[in-house]
Amino acid sequence: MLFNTISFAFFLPLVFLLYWFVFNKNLKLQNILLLVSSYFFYACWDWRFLFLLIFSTLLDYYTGLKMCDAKNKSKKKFWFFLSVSLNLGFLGIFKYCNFFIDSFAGMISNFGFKINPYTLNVILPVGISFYTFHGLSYVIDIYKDRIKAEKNFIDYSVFVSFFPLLVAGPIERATHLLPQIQKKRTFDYAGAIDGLRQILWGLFKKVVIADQCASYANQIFNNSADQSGSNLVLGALFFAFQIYGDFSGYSDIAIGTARLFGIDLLRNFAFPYFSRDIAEFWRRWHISLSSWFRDYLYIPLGGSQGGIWMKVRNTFIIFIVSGFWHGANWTFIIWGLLNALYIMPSIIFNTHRNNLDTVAQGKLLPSFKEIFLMTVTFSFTVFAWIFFRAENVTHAFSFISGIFTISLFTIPTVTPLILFALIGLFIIIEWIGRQNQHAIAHFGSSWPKAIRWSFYYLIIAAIFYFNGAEQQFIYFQF
Amino acid sequence: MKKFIQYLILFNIPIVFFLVLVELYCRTQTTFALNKNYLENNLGNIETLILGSSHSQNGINPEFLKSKSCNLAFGGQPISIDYFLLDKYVLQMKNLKTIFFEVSPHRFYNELNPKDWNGHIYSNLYDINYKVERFSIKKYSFVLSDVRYISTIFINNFNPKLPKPELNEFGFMKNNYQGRFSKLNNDSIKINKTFKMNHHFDNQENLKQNIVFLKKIIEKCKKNNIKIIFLGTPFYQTYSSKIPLKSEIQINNLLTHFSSKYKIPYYDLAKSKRFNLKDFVNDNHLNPDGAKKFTLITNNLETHYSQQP
Repeated sequence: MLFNTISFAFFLPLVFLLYWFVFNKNLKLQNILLLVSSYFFYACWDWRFLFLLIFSTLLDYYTGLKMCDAKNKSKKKFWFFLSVSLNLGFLGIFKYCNFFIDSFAGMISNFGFKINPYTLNVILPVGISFYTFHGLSYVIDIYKDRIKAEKNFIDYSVFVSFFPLLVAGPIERATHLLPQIQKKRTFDYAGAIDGLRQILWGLFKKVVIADQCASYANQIFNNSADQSGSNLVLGALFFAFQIYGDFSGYSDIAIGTARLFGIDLLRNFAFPYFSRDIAEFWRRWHISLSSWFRDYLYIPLGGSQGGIWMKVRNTFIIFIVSGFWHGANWTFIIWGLLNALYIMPSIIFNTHRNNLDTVAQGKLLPSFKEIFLMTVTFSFTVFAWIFFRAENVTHAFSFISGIFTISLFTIPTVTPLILFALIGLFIIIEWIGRQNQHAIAHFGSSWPKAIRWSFYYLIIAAIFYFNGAEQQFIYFQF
Repeated sequence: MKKFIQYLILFNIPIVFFLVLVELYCRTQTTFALNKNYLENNLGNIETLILGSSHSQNGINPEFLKSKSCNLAFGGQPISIDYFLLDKYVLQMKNLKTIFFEVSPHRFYNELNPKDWNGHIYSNLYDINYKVERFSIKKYSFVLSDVRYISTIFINNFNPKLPKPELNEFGFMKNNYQGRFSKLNNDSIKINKTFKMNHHFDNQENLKQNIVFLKKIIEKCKKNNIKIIFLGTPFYQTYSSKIPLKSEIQINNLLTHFSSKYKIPYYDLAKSKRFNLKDFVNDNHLNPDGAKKFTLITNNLETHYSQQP
């Protein structure tokens, strides 16, 4: 089930009403309802993979308990490695197996040997990267004695499978989400209303911005050989807005939905395209994944404790792993590598924490310097997105070489004026709301109710109008 | 909580009201709803049936056909849907004698399934489910099946710049004059300069699959003793000249083969000189005047072929 479908528009109110009106007096029943709804939500995609999700949940639940009960360090280590290796094993089989087989066959053929590799015909289970990382953070935290194992299986299962975050995050931590699941939730009117606003803005980003940009980005990327340099630049720009609208839109809907149930999820995006350097961009883009890698990979590898070269090495490692997490393709690895190179000067010169505040805080407009820095950062990001979107490395390089031709200075033939206007409006609203949790959290809060509601109706009308074929979210494939 | 529910209800009233209004409108006032109503109210009396795409939907006005007719052609309608519609109603159409089957070349290269925007119309109106969707509310509601498409039809109805659609009892739009040609003031130079072909004529896999359904339609007609006539609708020169010659020959050979094998009359007006710029609303669709002209020709065809054994 997708958030941008009619089915979800019926599913969500039904679960909401049952949650607050039928099961509101009993926390256990509320959690059972959340679990059943989450499994139903997942089964709507493919019920067979529900068993994989349940198995993964059982594995981490059981190994978590075993680690807590372990009488000595070696037993604890045994259960920990069992859990980690099985989790990564499943991820490897479903996501990376064919990549390794193909890459190995490619390498062998470079030495003159020809083999016909046997690849597996597997479907990538939706959300496997997300719920595996949920589970991993849980067992790592137990192993490091940061938390105790959860004894209540229902509570733990809700932590892993809570439907708003099940298929594309935010990647939650046990320390943040489990306590909320264990305690009785009370309905928060202001939070719920703001949750609805966040859902609305998320849908706008997905349906109006991302899906409309997608049709042009696909058109340009799929026929890149026939496009002028200026069209290719537009294609890359459209993809930059597509992926931002798509993924941050999903996160907004997920966070807003969770708030309706009295649960706060981790923030995942904080207006990343208004960043003044790449380090700031990575503090604002897919925050739950970046912080996951920081806490469970970068710091265990030594973080920045071992001097500058240790920092450089660890930064490269997390960016390459992060690229690889996104998909089994060299394009993602190069995308990660490219971002590591971008961030390297600020790591070496220790300027990566220069921009911790929001750009032009308390001001209406940015300074020229800020505009320049944001433009440069955005341009570097868009360039890297070319690798992220390309079918393969050859495609990415031919796309880039197509940009740097004389046709770069021609007028683009793709000129969707309505889409340009929509993107412009979108950027203005995001800019105005950049200091809040989401763009329309306080947008128009001082306006009379009738005008504010008219603004919401306009957003709804745009969603209706642009809601063609319901497009899947990009991050479902990860 | 009470306040929240009140807020939700109050906020959603206009949205629900709008959606209900659009749903009602679609079920009573649109061309596809009128078509279906006419069909089901006259099932036993219909003598002539038109199957095809928007070319026939805009090109044949049953009002001018002598026999009791129903035009089941619709925008983007694949040949497979032609078959499913025929299959659904053929036994109930006790008086059905003739089928005009549109053979515009693009139809043979199109996909077998309708697109989302029109697919749900078949699902809603005729229970022809082109794709199986579990738990889908779309099967039961027009407006929810494709909010954008359906809302656009509704909103266009109130657009002062567009004429309010005047539909006759057959669902044919009698004032369909506004299109690409009227926007260009029927200036043939501008029309020629700005034409862009929006159909594809190259997918051989689709062609194979569409031929299978064409055969099924022919067999169904033979079995039920219904005369089928292959009909090529008129195009303006911009469109007809841009159909790749290779594809044109391929479809022509195919239809000639079927025509001689099954003794099916094949009448192609794609490049007919009888139609000029003023008969078209755009490059490949007739306006109501052109439709009247074309319908009268089909009328003669029907009379002519009905006299043959």
